[in-house]
Order: sequence, then structure tokens, then C-alpha cells
Amino acid sequence: MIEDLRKALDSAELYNEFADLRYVEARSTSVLVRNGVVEQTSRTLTRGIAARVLVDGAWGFYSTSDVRAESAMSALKLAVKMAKAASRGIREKAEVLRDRTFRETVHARVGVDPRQVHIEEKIKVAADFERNIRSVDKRIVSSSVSVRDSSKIEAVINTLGSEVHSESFYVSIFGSATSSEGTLTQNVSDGIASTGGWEAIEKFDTTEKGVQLGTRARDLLSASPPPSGKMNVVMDPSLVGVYIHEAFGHAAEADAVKAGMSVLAGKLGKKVGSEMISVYDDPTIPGAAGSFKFDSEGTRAIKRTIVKGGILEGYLNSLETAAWLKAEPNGAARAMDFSSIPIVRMSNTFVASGDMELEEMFELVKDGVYLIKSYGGYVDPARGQFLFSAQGGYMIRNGRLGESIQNVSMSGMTLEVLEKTIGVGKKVEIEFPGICGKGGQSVAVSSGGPNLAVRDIVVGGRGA
Amino acid sequence: MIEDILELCAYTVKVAERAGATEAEAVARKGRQASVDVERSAIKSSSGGEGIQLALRAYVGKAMGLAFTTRGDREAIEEVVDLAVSLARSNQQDPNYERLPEPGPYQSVEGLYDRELANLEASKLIEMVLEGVRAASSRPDTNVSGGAGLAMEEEAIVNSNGIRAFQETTGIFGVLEVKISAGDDAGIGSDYFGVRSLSKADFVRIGSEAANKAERNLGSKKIESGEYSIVLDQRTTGKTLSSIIGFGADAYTVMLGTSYFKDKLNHLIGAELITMIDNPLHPGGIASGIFDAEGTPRQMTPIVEKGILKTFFSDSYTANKLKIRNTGHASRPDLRSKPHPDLTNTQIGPGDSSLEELVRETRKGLYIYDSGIGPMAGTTVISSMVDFGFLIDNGEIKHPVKNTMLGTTVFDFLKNVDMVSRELLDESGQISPSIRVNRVKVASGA
Repeated sequence: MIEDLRKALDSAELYNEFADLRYVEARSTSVLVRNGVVEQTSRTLTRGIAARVLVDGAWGFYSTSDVRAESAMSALKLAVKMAKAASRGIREKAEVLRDRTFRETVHARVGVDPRQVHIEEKIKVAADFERNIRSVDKRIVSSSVSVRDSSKIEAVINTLGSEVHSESFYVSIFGSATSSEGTLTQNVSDGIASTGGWEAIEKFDTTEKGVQLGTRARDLLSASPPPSGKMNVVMDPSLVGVYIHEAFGHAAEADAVKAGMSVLAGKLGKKVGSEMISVYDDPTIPGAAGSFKFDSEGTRAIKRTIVKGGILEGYLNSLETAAWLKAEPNGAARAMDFSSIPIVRMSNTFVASGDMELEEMFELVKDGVYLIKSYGGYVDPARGQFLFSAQGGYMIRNGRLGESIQNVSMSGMTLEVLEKTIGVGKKVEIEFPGICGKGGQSVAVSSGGPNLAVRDIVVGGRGA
Repeated sequence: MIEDILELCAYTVKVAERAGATEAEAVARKGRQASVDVERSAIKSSSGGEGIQLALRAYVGKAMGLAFTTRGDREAIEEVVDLAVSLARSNQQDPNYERLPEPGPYQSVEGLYDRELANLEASKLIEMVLEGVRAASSRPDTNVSGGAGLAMEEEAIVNSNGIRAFQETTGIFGVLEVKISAGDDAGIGSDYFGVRSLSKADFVRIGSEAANKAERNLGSKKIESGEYSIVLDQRTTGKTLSSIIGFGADAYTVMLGTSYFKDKLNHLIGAELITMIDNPLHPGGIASGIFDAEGTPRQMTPIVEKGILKTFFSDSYTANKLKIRNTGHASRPDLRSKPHPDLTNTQIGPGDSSLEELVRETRKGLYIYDSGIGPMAGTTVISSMVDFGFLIDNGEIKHPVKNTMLGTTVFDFLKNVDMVSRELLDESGQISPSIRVNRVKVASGA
């Protein structure tokens, strides 16, 4: 296929304008087991071509699921037509960094190729995990487990000379449990994802993890209603992951900065948080859910330092934002599939370790809440306002753990909250995978960090 | 390549039956899209695309296999059939499954397809968007972002029980967000539309509205935590009640036992002021259609009448399991997954208060607009950020709020609705009044 793309690109009349062509082929298998029933097994095969051009300073993009050799040329022509139409409405011409080219073929090396694992084995793993969740208590009214694996080939070529052919894998197992008693319903979830092979699923202990999840769902029924108001908070690594992804990571995506829609615009080299805080985004962590070798523009993905000692050090860049910022491209332009245009995205985002034990943080906070296990969240990067949710937690009373509390959310202003960090834990965990949505595109990411203690966070519960 | 997608589906079902499927359903969607992105008050990019999607659900007894592809040629059909049938053979029997739906009479729905929109050139769309950007750029310090998109889609469904359905639709959406910077302060406002015909696409209106909202959003403050009444604008009311009632009245969550209304059919679930129907036959409605995602005829369905839950809305799977009527609510935004019930155009009945009265009669409250408040996934807990809201003090709207959250439960929320406006907002078939809800916990950073 890459030869067909190269031929199309070479023969297109682009007059020194930038263009790239992408071919993506993906296969996936998924199994969903709910309440003891295998509700769905599915296989998908998708493939298509995308052409992207920068003509007269405006971007044009066209995708098609028709992968015949002539389709690449046709898509290029239509992309040029789109760009020319768009160029009549631009104010300043977009540019891309033109002095970086990459030529490489990436073969994914995995222990067990998930495509070789029989569907019956995948069903068995899902069913075992689900049964173990449900076995804990009759008040677990519903439980479900999804097991998914996918393989992807992405070939990118551009007019700068880059030619990258990447193969990648993704496997995941997630479980969810809903417990109910009277008018109270609680929900918890847990799981893992990896860009490694099926061995990540084999290592997942479906008995231990299933019982843990079921127990958490059961125990929340007797937990107290969460408090409401401004209070001190200790977040576990999973919540820290969502916090740093939602509250900070999105604002550090340079397309938001360029668009003037980030609270971090104009703050490079300036203090943006407590000096205890350092933040990284690293797509090179082997096997992590958000890892990849090359992005969807064919740029090598490298570890990015976003904040060091409270100072904003850099942003996540595409070829366009790197040119605009006169910065190094760091391979952060990702496209969900062939029909999506690459946009700046995170990979594995985490807060670096500090020097405190968890118990010391409870003493530091004295009175507040310890929130555990994230549920996800969202952010308005323009205003820097975010919300994220915890599956549960504990009250902290007089420096010690108190009673457990139910599902609750917390909210804050990005820069204020980073300023208010008063303690950073010793042990970093970056094992909290998720699917991040932006601009209608969903990509796999992970996030994490150590435990963090923050003062004066708004917690939105329904209790007193 | 089989160009006629109805024939493509019929052929796929035939091949699946030949391969051993006892029941089969093929769904195909073929279409074109175009979109425009706006950044820093100017056009950034224009995109387009075309493609086909084909999904097959094959059953061997009660075991199902699902396969999906982005191709429509005979080789791909053979591959999809092989994958789906072999998955079904390897799969366990699903005791909840009865059978795929039967054909029924379809009602016609006006305004689903607009030829003028289908033929719109990208350059014309860009001109329209720029008119909206100009309307939004009321001040020199204005930053407008957003975009527009249009889509033309053909959808066909054929199943082995005789369903053979086809519809063609168009749609266009626009969204503009305005940020006004004033020193360290920023005012954000946005507006949008989603319609099925070009004549209803009004970029100038959303541009002006977004600018007005951004201006009003300047000077936001944190407020005191405590108990407040909340007044929801019409859009927020529609989204919120659709979300809360939509989860609880969904036959699938009822079947799973996770619905908080599972034992509330024909019982009071909230204030008697609440009445809601679901109307997928609304002419030109953004969620309107002739048939649902399984080919079952669409129909108007009462959901809540004077606070009493009237219907669990369903698809064939849940209707058969719960032994209730199939209301034709199968939804399948992504053909990679099997259908699940979902609401279409929710239409909430009016009350007898005026919009003005809702605010004037509120002593300590929040006016919340352009937001959606819903329960945390799968729970009865509501713990939401106030994205856009104003403080109401003694019947008057004061300043915008920030860093503010509200907490309640779905039961308290519905029970504490005490005022409903008589003025309704109709947004492409989504119809809603404003409501007031009392006794909501509010937490803020002040």
C-alpha cells in the first residue's frame, strides 16, 4: 500500500505545498459478558485512506473507505479542493515544521499475539471475571465485563519525505459492578489496558480482581453520603491521573494554546503550580495503554516534560503547533482512525513522585476527604474549570482515616488547584487506562502519579 | 461493489443464512460528510469524507456473532458472514434472546432529507460559517472557535424475518464558541444548532447568541456553599430530564436491574408537573426517522404523564425479555455494537408559570443555562459542575458563578420540581420548558 500512496503523492501537482497520505487498517475482537450472559461477541475490519494538504495556508482533508490505488489520488484532489475553499476564510497562514523527516518500519513485538487467541478463551476470561464480581453479594444487581483486543497498521507518507509504517496492538479488560439497596445505587469499575500482547490479560487475576470489585460495590451501600463544600483532599494515584489529564494535560495541548483557548497560553517558563509538582507525558513507556512509537503525522513520539518544579516547560505538539511555537515536534498528533484528522493528544500523563508517605499526608490534611478510584471527568480548558469523579473514599478526621463515603465528584480551577498542592506521595503508579475524547475522536491513554494532598477543593456531594 | 445498499443487505442476509445462520440482520450506512473548523475567528480547515459501513448480526440458535466492515464488495460480505457465523457458533446461548423483530407498517415522516443541503458545496458552507463568525465578533478582544458539519446518509436494514427498510437523511450542525478576554478574566459563551434542512441553518443567530453569552459570563465569582433552588433554562431542562428519565425508563437498564425506576411503572416518579413524550415522528426532527436501528417502525411514546412513569422504552431484545411492547427505540450510533434502546426527540410539556416568574419567585438560587445535569454513571447520585450559571438573589439575576457544583439525587431532583414555564423551546423536535428545582446542595469555592 505504501508504494501506492507514494506514487499518488509524487504525481500530485502540489507545487511545494505540504501534504500527507495515511492508510489505516484495523481489526478488533470484543466480548461483553453481563450478568452471566455472553451478550455480544464481535469482530470488526476497517480500512481506509486519508489525504491531508496544506494549501495557501489552510488545511484540507478527505477520507475514503475505498482503498483502490486510484482512491489516494482522488482523495488528494478532493483535499486540495477543500483546502482552497478554506483558504478564502483564513486570517494567518498555517505552516508545518519542514525539517524533520522519519523513515521507519515499526513491528510490534508482543509475547502472545491476541489474534491467535481463540474466541472461546476470550469469552472464558470475561465470564470468569464477571462471575467473581457477582459472587460477592446478592445486592450486586448487575455486573459486566468487556474484553477487547485490536491490531492496527498505520502507514504515513508526506511531501517532506517521511515514510513510516507502524504496527500496534491494544488489549483491555474492564469490569463494572452496580450495587443497589432501597433507593441507593452505587457503581464501581476497574480494569487494565496495554499496548502489549495478550500476556497482559493472562497476568490479570480475574478471581482476586473480581472479588475486590464486588466487595467495593457492596461496601459502598453502607458508606456515608459524601460531604459537600470546600475541603482538603487527598487523591489516590488513579484520581491524580484524571486530575492531571483533565485539569492540566488538555490545557498543555498546543492546539488549544494556538487557538487561544487554553489557560496555559503565554505561560511558558512561568510558575503554574507548587514547586513540588512536575508533570510528564510519555508515549514511550513499554506496554502502557497510551504508548506508541510514531504519531499519525509520522513523527517519532518522545517523552515530554510539561512542568518541572512548578514551572511550565513545554506543550504537546503537532508539526503545525511546533512550527507556530518554534518548538521541537514531539509526536503528539494522533488520529482515531482513517476518517479522522490528526489532532494534538496526550499519551501516558503523570505527576512525578515526591517524598511523603500516605499516612503523613493524612496528618498534613488533618480534616478532609481521601478520594479513591477515578470515574473519569471533563474540563473546560478555556476557563480552566474541571470536574472529575471518584468511585468512593473516606473521611479524614484529625489526621486519620474515618468512615467510608459513596460516589462523589470534585471540581476546581486548573491553576488554583496546582498552586494548592501541599503534599506529594513517594510511589508513582501510571496504570490507569482510559479512553480520552476530544473533537469527536477517542484514543487510548493512561495517567497516574503518586498520592497528592491538596487544600480547599470543592467537593459536590449531597450530604451535610 | 454493490452500490444499492438495500440489495447489499439483502445479499448479506442470504449468504449468512446459507452459511448456517438461523436468523440474520444486515445494516448498511453509506454517506458523505463535510466539515469546517474555526480557530481564532477564522477558518482553519475544511474536511470531507465518504464511506460505507456494513454490520451483520448472525444467530445460530440463541447465540449471536456480530461482524463489521467498511467495505461493500462481495469478498468483504463473504468475510463478514464467515466471521459473524463462526463467532455465533463459538458463542454461548443467550437465554434473554428471543428473536429479531418482524416487519410492521411504516409512517411517513416529513423533512428528513433536503436536496439543497445534499448538494451544498464546501465553499458555500464556509461562507455561511464566516457570517456566523462575523456576528460573533462583536468586540476586538473576541476569539471565536467552533465549526460546522453536514452529512448525507442512506441507511438500509434487512433481516431474515422480512424486514426490508431504507431511508435517506440529511443533517447540518453549527457550533460557535466565543471567548472574551478582559485582563485575567475570561467570558465564555457558545451556541449551536442541529437541523435537517439548509433553510433552518442560522449561523448568524448562534454567533450573536454566543457573543452575548460570553459578554454576560464576564466577572464570574465563587459563591457561598449551601442549599439553593435551581432554575434551569429550556435547553438544560431538556437535556437533564432526558438524561435522568432516559436512564431510568430504558428497558435495558430495567432488564439488568440497574434502573432506579425498575419497579415504578405506572407509579409517581416525581412532581406532577412533569410530562414527557418521545416523538421520533416530529417533522424535520433531528432524531426523527421512519424506523429504528432494527427496522421496527418508529412511533410516538408517552414516557411520563403528570409525574407518573408510563412506559419503559424498548428494542426487540428488551421487549421480548420483559414481555412488553417493542416501542421501536433501538439505537445504534456505532454499528460495531448491537443496538440498545434510546430516546429520540423528547418533548416535555409546559407548565403555567412564566419564565420571568421562575426567577422572580426565587429567593436564593442559581440560574443554569446551556448545561446538562445527570446522574453519575449507573447511580442515583447527581454530582455535577455548574458549567454556566448565574446567582439569583431575591428574585434577581446577579453575577455569573464559577467553581460551583451541585449535589442531589435523581429522586429528590424530580420530586422537588415546583415550577414549570409555559414558554417552550423547540429545537428540531426537542421541546422543553424551563423548570425550577428546590433544595439542591450547592458547593462552591467562596
